[in-house]
Amino acid sequence: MGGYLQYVQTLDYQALLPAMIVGGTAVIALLADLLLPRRIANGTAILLGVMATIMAGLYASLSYGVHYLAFGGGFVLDGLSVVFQEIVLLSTLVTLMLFNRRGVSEDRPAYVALVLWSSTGAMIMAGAGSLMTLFLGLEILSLSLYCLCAIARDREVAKEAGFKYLVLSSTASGFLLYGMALLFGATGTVTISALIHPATGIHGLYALGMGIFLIGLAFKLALVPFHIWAPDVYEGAPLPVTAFMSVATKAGALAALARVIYTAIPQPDAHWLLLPTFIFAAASMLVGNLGALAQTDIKRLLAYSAVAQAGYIVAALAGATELGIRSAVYYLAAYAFMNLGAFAVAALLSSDREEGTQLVAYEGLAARQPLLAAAMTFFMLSLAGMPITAGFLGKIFILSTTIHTGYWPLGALLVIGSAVSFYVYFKVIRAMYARVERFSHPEVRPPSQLPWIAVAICAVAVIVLTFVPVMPGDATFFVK
Amino acid sequence: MESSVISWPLIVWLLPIAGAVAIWACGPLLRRFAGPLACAVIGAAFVGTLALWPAVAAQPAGVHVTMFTWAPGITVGLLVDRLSFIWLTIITGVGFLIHVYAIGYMEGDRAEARFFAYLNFFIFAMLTLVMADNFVFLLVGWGLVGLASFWLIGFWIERPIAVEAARKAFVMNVVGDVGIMLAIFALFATFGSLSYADVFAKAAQGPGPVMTLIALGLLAGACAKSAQLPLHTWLPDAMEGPTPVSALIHAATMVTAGVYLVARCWPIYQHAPGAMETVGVIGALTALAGAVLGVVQWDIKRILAYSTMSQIGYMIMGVGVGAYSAGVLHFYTHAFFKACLFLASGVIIHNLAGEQDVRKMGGLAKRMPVAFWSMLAATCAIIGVPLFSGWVSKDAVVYQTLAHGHPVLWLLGVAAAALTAYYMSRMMWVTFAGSFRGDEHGAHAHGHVPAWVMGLPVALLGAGSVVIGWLNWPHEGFAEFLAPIFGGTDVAPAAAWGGEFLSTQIPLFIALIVGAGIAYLQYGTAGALAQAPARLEREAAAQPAFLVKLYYWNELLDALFVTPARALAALCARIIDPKLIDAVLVRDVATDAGVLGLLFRRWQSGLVRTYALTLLCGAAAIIVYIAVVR
Amino acid sequence: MKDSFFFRGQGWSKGSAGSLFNFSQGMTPYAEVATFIIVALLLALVLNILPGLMARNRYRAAPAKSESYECGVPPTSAITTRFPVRFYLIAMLFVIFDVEAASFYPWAIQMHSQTFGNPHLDEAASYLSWTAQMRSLHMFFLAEMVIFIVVLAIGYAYVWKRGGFTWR
Repeated sequence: MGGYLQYVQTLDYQALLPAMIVGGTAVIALLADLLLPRRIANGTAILLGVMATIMAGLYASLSYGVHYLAFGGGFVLDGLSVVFQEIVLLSTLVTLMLFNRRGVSEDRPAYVALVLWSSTGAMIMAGAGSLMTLFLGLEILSLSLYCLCAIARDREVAKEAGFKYLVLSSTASGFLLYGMALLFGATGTVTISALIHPATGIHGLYALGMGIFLIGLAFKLALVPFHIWAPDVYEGAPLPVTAFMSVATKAGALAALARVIYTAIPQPDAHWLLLPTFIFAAASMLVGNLGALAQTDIKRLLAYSAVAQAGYIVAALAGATELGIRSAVYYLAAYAFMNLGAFAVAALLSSDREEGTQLVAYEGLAARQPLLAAAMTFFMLSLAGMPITAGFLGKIFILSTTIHTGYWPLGALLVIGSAVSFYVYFKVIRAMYARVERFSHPEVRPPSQLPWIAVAICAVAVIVLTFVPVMPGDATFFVK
Repeated sequence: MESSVISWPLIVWLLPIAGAVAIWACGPLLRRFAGPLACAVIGAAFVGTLALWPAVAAQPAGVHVTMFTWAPGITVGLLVDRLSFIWLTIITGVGFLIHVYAIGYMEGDRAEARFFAYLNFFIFAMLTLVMADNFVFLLVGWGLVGLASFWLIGFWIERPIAVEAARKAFVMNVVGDVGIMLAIFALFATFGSLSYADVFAKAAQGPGPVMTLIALGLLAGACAKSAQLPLHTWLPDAMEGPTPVSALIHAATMVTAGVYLVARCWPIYQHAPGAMETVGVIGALTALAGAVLGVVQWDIKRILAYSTMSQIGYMIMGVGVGAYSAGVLHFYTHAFFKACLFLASGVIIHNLAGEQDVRKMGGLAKRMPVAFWSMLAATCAIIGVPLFSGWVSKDAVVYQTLAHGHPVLWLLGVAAAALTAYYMSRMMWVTFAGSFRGDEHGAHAHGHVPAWVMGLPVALLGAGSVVIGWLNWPHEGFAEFLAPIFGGTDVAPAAAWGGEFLSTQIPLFIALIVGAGIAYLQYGTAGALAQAPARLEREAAAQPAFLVKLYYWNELLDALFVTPARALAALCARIIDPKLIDAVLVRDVATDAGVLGLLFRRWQSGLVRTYALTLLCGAAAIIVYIAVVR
Repeated sequence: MKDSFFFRGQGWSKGSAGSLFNFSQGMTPYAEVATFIIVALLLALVLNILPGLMARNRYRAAPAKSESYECGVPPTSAITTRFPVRFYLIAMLFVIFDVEAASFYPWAIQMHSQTFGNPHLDEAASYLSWTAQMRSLHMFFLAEMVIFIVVLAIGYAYVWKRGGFTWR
């Protein structure tokens, strides 16, 4: 075919600019590490990262409302990609504020660079218009995350987490890639929206490819049974990395999944093709919430809760309705902030030596730090779906979606799962507010007060979402 | 008129909550300045309200501010049309005077700043209620005023009786809230929207039975909030709160929310004639029942509480027969004279060191001239002395019942007027005439002339009680002003029963003369005053128990609802919870969950090979599924 | 539409026109892939099973047969010793830079086919002269590779500074 360069224009690079800002800043952070003394480089790196995410976020928000196919459809600029990029960037911003000395003191520029790179990957995934771009984004994201998991080199669990994540995620990437190859073989294109020709229907090879491709995405979303890595990896990875993984990875994978479901699969005669995904989502709601029951480590608890929440979000996509994608985007945004908020609280309970993720660290917190306990309670209530919180509204939207589309068993499981999850989250609240005679956990001094800003951002965001629960129409707009 | 986001309605609406938050946050710093700050905020809101006047006067549809879309079909905005404007002037104007008064009344209280924060919060809640442009926001305001009322009735938390009264008010209001909520659900299901504009435009298309149910649900809310039968018992108890609260919330503003609701939802009632009939009957019965109970009260605030209940009965009766503007007019005048009565009674109570029993007063006219003259003006208004404000509005309401074809309600209204004239004028004579019967040393220890902060609002409101009704002149000014809202439906077509003068003014005047005359003969003559203390005791003992016990209504509600609820609770606590929930549901499930957990634990072994195997099994399942299904 | 699982009878569907990743011709059916998989599986199986079958009797006969070096020199230590992880590190770094060097090749090919080998060049953007188009395209490719190399160099410098190449 004739040179594609004639299609490449400045606008294409502008569409990609937020991701390029973030990725480029990561390189600059490494340069800072090379050229500046250690102490200065540490601070500079965090500052650079924060500035880059804010700039990229502002720039991305400017392109809200623009619909454009960049690089011949390889990268898509539409409402959906902008909103998901913003979610990724905000979670990056919060993650950068949560660093703790224990995990990432020595390598802070490297930590910042890796977080920024994984953020770049997630942003590329959010706008991926072709399978190649999608895979590229996924690998940028995953490779950085493998390193991030193991960045606390003196912690055995961290290394173990990194190793497990590397092995299992590579396997999943292999599935994904194999699925893509089959899809390409079946259709002769890698452009997601061109994968299916409405007239020809679902071809056997296409179905197989799509099935295997979805396994890869299900792994990234940690849907049962592809969730099995999540608790161990979440527990082992440093706290900020866990926070990032639980939100940004999900955002990237969910954007890809939404794009595939809404543009590449003919509705509604492809119900059967997506059915396994929704069965996995249903299983996630149950296993996630039941698994969280017995946990005493906040990171592990939130890992299981993340499994369940991913199930809720995917359930919204069943039937591929307008209401569904709206609910999914809303719930993802709300989930991102309540989850990050909970992690930020945990960061404030961490010292240089130990991460405050054991449930005992929360005992009597209400008496010691009432404001922090109140914030944590707010996030937990929202995660549980207490009425009038953003979490509740999101669940209501998803529930009504499942009823509208006829996938009501998913809705029923959502209700059951939420009922179970109340116990899970109230365990944390009870620990904070129960009267204790003597604090068994020593008072800790967090290495920095930055997480307070993160807590504030998240709390404000959740409150705002509560009052403005309707995404503007463009937020869920696809360019095919 | 559509308006931009930053606009007067928004400012008026947000000022009080800003004040409340500021005072609450900086309470310890502000100390004595909390009160003046709260007043300044409400004063500014009043000015803002007045600044809205040109727009409201020029635009029949009112000023509308759209804020945001809360959910599909529910757009939240502020609406200031002529109806809400009337309420706004009372809430901010009378509210401002009461705030000023409260500076004096609450001086030296332990938690002065908290009080003013609550008071500002209440104004915000009440503004939310009347400025809402949709039912959801209305319900939010409805709930928030209930909350503010709860806080303020129970403000003196160290008094168990006050806390009890607060709880009672809250619970009884929730009954009404549920009614409104059900009505809102039905509205949304029927019309697919909850904005006033949409609902009222489509009201004619609603099926009759549904409209009746909706109207009755709204009525339940109105009854609870406005202390109408059968949900009236919380209002007298609510007098345990500080007197400014009684004046602001339980006389001038919040308790009239029911009137506002019915007037606002008139298109719904227009299409639910049965429900509308019910509204009128409830109003009339409450007007009479409240007046009857007023006769047997000796506590000055309780007398006023029952008179409030009775007067709101008039308003509800007015809107219930379809004379919306007459009901609203009575609300307007009532806000002035009842606030004045409460504030003046507050002056008396303040000076007599907390004494509230009128039998222990007497001869106060000379000691407290401001309170006396203001209270006299307000009493003249409430009993309907010609040319006073109450005369204008009560006449209008009673006449409209007749004009709309409800002679029985007319009769009830006239009877209630006679009783009102009797017990209110009796209260005046017993309180202000004769000689002081109270505990001298208590009075002297604390009695001091009120400062102008308390005197001025009382005097202003007293003056208002006289003149405010004149707004309705030269002829039916209120109805004309409100015509864009009610579309002229509320004006009776022709002069009925020989015109207003013959059919209403004469009978009401006779009722006034009879009621006040009997009171004078019993309590006002020199002879009666001379032997007052002993006689008052005797008469109190001779009152029928049925009335003194308030028709045994509290006991009835207890027997019907509270006792069964307690029994159910006991059943749950003794049998269902330990035997069923704990034993079967919790322990057995926990055992099962334990087994399940063991399985999970084996699965979540931490070994990469187990995990990889899981992955493969999942993948194999999908592949097999696709191969089979295809 | 009931084709066999791996093979399609019909021609390949056309993707959207102008798409970057649209290969509408020259596709081989999956017969070769299937052959490849089958051969790979067979080879692995055969190579795993065959030695066992062949060697079974000899093991029993002479234990020396199973030793590492059959030539008679007894091994001095176990052959499964641990050795430094740095070998892996060096190998990994080598692979990374090797692969990156290898990406020069497709870059060069692309540049040629987009410039001198591009028959559509003048009609695609006719407002520029052929020479100007050629120059701008070359600059584009140059810039692309410079950025690539700079990023690579920073990575290289970083590894160097952090002691990735020292044998501690």
